[in-house]
Amino acid sequence: MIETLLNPKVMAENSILVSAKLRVLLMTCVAFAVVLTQVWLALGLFFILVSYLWCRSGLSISQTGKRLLAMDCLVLFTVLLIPFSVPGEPVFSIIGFGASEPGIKMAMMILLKANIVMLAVMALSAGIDAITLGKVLVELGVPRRFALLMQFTVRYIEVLYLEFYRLRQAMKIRGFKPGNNMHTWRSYGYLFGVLLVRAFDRADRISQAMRCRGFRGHFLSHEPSRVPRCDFVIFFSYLLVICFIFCSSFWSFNPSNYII
Amino acid sequence: MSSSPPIIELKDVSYQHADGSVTADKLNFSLFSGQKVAISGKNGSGKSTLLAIIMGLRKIISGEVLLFGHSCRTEADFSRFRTRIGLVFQDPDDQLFCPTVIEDVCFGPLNQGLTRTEAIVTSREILKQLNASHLENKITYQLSGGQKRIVALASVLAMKPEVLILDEPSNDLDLDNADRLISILKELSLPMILVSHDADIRAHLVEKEYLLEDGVIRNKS
Repeated sequence: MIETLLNPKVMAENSILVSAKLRVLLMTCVAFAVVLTQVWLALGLFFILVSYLWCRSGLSISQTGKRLLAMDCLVLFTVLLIPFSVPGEPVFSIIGFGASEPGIKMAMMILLKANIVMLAVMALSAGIDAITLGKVLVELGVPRRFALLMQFTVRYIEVLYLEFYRLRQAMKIRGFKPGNNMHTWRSYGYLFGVLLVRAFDRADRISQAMRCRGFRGHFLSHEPSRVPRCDFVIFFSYLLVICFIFCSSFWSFNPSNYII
Repeated sequence: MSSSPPIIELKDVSYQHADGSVTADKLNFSLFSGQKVAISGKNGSGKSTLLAIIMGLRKIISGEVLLFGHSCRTEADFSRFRTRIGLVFQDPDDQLFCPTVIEDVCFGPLNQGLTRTEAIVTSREILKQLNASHLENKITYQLSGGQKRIVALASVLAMKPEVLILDEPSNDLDLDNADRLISILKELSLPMILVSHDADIRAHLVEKEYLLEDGVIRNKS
C-alpha cells in the first residue's frame, strides 16, 4: 500500500476525477452513505456504482483482490461473533451458543459494507501519491499532525524496513532458521525489540535534526491545489447519484415497523 | 587569534552519558571566524556528542557554551542561534524527512520566516550551486547515498548559516562522490568544524586539527 502511495503506477488519465481533493471528498461521501444505509437494495446499487468506479480506476483484479482479502481477514474476526451476540431466533448453535438470524444478516451486511467502502477507497485513491494526499487532507481540515504522521510513516517505513531487512540478513548469515521453538521466538523478540529501540533513537535524531533547522513544533502550510472546473461537474454528478441511492433506501421505509 | 569573540566557544564543559561514561571533562574549545578545523578521535570518543552539545541538543552538567559571544543555557537561548549554525548530520536519513527534495531544502528557510516563494527561490539557488537541480522533485528516500549527502548539505546551506559543522560527511561515499563533496566544501568560504575519520578529507579542507580523547580536546601534532 505504501509502495503504491509512493509510486502510483495508475495515473489520472483513465481515472474518474483529476483533482485529488474532490476524489478524497467523494470517497468520504460514499463511505458515509454506505455505512448509514440499512437496506440491501441500496447497498446493491452502491456496489454497482463502486464497481463502475473501480473499472474506471484501472486497478488490476489481483491487486484489488489481495487487498480486499487482507481486509476481510481482519473484518471476519469481528463479524464472526455478531450472530452469537444479537438476540433473536437461533438458526444454529455452536457449543451451546445460538446464532440468530438478525445477527447473521447484520454480520453479512457489515462485511458487504466494509468491502464496498474499501473498494471505493481503492478506486478513488488510485494515482494519488502520499505527498498529495497529505496536502489534500490538510486542505480539507484534517489536523496537520495527522497528515504529518501519515507523511512521516510513508517516509520512514522504507528506512525501518531496510533496518529490519539488515537485521534479518545478519541473523540468516549466522545460520538462523525459523522454526516453532523457543530459540526462534526469543530471536524474533530480540529482532523486534531492537527494531523498536532503533526506531525510537532515529525518531530522536530526526527531531534533533529538525530543531537544528529552526523547527519549533509548528509546520508551515503548503500551497493550495487547484481544482479544474470540469471536475466540479463530474463530482456533483456523482454526488447526485450517491444522494439518490442513499435516499432510495428511505422509500421502502414502513412506519408500521416503528410502531411499538 | 582575533579580537572578535569566537563564533563557538566551550568553557570547561563537562558532560556525562546516562550510563555514566564521560564524554567531556572540563573541555575547552573555540572556533573563530574564518577558521576551518577538524576534530578526530576514536570510535565512541564522543565526537557526535560534542556537536550535539554545541547545538544545545544535549544538556551539559557544568561549564558554559557560548554561541556568537552569547552564553546559551536554555532551549530558548540555543534556538535563537541554531539556524545560524549549519549542522549536517552523520546519517542523511535523519536529516531528510520531507517527502521531496525541494520541500526538505525549503524547511529551514521557512522556519527562518521566509515566504514559500522566497524559500523556493533560495533552495533552487543552493541546489543549482551544488549541481543538484535535477534532484529537486525527487522523493528523498529514493536518492542514492551520495545524492542524500548533497541534499542534506543543501538543506543546511539553504539557511545561509554563518558556520558549518559536518559530522562524518564522507561516510558511505565512493571516491567520485567523496571528491565531489570535497570540491563543493572547498568552494565554501564558511568557517567549519569537520568531524571525520577520513584523513584525506581532513587534509583537503582544514588548517587545524584537534583530537578528542578522554573527554578533552588537544591540538593534534
